Amino acid sequence: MFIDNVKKERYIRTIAVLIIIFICGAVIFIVENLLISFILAFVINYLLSPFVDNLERRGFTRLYGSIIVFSVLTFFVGIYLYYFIPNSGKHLDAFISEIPKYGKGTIALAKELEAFANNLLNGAYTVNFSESLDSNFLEISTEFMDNLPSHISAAITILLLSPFFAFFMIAEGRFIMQKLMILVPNNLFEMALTLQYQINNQVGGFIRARLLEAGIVGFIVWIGLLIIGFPYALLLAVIAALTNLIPYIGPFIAIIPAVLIALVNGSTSMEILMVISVYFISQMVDVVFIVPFVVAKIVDLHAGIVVVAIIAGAQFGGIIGMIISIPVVSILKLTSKEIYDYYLHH
Amino acid sequence: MIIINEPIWNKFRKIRKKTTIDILSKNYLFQDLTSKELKILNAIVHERTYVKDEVIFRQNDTGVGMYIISKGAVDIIAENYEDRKMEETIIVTLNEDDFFGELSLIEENGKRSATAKATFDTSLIGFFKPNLMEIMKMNPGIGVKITWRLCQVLGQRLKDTTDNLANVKQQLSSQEVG
Repeated sequence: MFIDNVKKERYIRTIAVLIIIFICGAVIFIVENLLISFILAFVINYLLSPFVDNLERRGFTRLYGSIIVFSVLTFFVGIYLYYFIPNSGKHLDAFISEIPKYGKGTIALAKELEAFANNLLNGAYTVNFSESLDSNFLEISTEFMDNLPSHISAAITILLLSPFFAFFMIAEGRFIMQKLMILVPNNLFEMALTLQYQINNQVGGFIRARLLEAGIVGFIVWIGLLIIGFPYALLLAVIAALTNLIPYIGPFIAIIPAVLIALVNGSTSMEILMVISVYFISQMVDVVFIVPFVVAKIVDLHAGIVVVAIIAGAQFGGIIGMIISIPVVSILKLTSKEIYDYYLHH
Repeated sequence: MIIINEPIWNKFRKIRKKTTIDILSKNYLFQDLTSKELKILNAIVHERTYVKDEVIFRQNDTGVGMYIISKGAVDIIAENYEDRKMEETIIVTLNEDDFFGELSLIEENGKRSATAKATFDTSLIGFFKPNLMEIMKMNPGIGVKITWRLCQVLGQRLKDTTDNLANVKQQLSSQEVG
């Protein structure tokens, strides 16, 4: 009778926890913009938590600590928007106004390449991709312009929602987790607690390490391009930093716009080589210094698993899927290891 | 005729319920903490309830932390396997305000040396390794006070074990002489 009651309660609690996780997951995935807002909120949470922890250490409550950190951040973001956005906007406007030029230039390059390939093949096979590139470019740019209002509204929603979620994650996260832990059945409680702690540490460390890595790569590209006097150095550095978040494939994506700009502008081979060198140096610093000493120590995953995870991530969630694939796989690895250990001893 | 055994105002006096902070403040490990620090600690501990005979943890499970008994009692049981049969021996029954499992707060993947089972319907306050790590990171002052007390408990345990060993040795040598 006793065992039956305990077992019944354990099943009910386990099912309750699974239902809560499922509903939260479903809502995040189904409601538009919520997934990206949550990912960004997690990133903000892991970036700002150390500051709130520090204030807590000095005697502030978690809530007041969070309010202080968010107020300071809002102040600096406000100053940035007021003073720097007009400048960055001009930079971006100049680039956008030149997009058609770079589009046409890329198509012209494709035609040259096509002619060269056909000449080389001497009629054995006819290469023809410039026409489809031309129509694709037109299609993509038309689609982008048509959907611009919805893109802007989505961006504003994400930018408003993510700090809002992040604030509650930092201020109330511990309390919410404690309340959720009450639902976990007694026999799984210690395992769940350890797992939650390990995941929190690993994901937090991973996000901080990846952002540091992206920041350093972006900074090197920016300085390098400024030194060689290449146009749009800041914009290209931001692209390099963001694409660097995609493991292995990101650096190759980052270099494409720079090389295309160089080719369309009719840069000499030496200049193109210098642009490639800047990106190469940034990747060398990343691979030799940052990855082995910062990232690899945090996520202990085999390179093969990383590649498979990125491909699967791209399949399920595009670029966002590629970026979050590694932390998701490391969470799955930790969870399966804990469950395996638990059943090994029971 | 009504016989009054106690002052009538006692009926109206608010009877203060024992809170988690009260229990924590009485515990040996947390006796150095100020009331403000106890509040911080209170925010990270976990309250769990167990029905009579429910297992809290089993011998050889990986230990994660300690428990303080806030209500009820807990049997600490040694499990021995003989001829594929499990024999259970109750080593001690712990009561309200007692604590157990504190060794696992500092052991790396240490195994539980005995099974803990609720003697009656029991409420426990759990303080675990992740909580200790968090509090050390968040508030090193509290972390030092707790680990200092923990060291004292472990030192006492070591002294007791040494004394017991010396006694056993003495008994063995006196038997040999006899």
